[in-house]
Amino acid sequence: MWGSSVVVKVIAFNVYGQSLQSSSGSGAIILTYPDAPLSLQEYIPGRQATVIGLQWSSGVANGGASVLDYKVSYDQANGTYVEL
Amino acid sequence: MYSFKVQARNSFGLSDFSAPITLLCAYIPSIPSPPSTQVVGNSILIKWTAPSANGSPITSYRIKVIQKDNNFSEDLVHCNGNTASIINALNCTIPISTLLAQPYNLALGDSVYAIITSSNAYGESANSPAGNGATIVLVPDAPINVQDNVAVTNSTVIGLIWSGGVSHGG
Repeated sequence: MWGSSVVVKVIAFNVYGQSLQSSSGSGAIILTYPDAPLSLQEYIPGRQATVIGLQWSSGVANGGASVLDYKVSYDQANGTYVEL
Repeated sequence: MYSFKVQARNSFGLSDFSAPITLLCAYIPSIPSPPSTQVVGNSILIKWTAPSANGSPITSYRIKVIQKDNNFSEDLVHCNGNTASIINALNCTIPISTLLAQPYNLALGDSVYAIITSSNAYGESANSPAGNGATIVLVPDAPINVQDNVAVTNSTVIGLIWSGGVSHGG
């Protein structure tokens, strides 16, 4: 499953036979991208004269690692989103 | 009008974008300037200017007039700021007779101060400062008891005396 470590051991072979197993490796973690955030909406109490508040929920799966942060992008009605 | 979307990031990378939302960048209207009051005939004309709508059209005003006890109250019969014609005209008129009665209980000669708020889809502004305070005046009552002043009248002079009407109009 996502977030699990993949640990391997290696055995070498030649014409005289096979080696002992190596020790375990470092254990790579199976990761993928987190799911997209959900339920993006305005945080109404946050609205002020020069402030808009946003709120959202995390996606269903974090891809095997904790979500570190979020990136918010905006588009001023010209079709191009710009990261805040 | 702005659209927003958001991505989550973990140590592997960025998620897809969330579904976007579109928001109007707007806020409650600015506080209106002090409204003016003016005697016009037997009424008080209250006028104001539209404050900045801050991105969302003004949907109503609340017009409050001072009472004798210095509280302010609305006259929704004559100055209902939800009325489209008043919103567009930026003025309304209250009969002086209304201000002389409850709950205002003002008297002729008193000053009429008004304050207003403005509202849009995002809420209601704070009260404006009070306006200039026009003095309530009406024409005086007609003089009464006009009669010959026999002490003055003679062969070449006519003397007249009379009394003032009940009300001097403020």
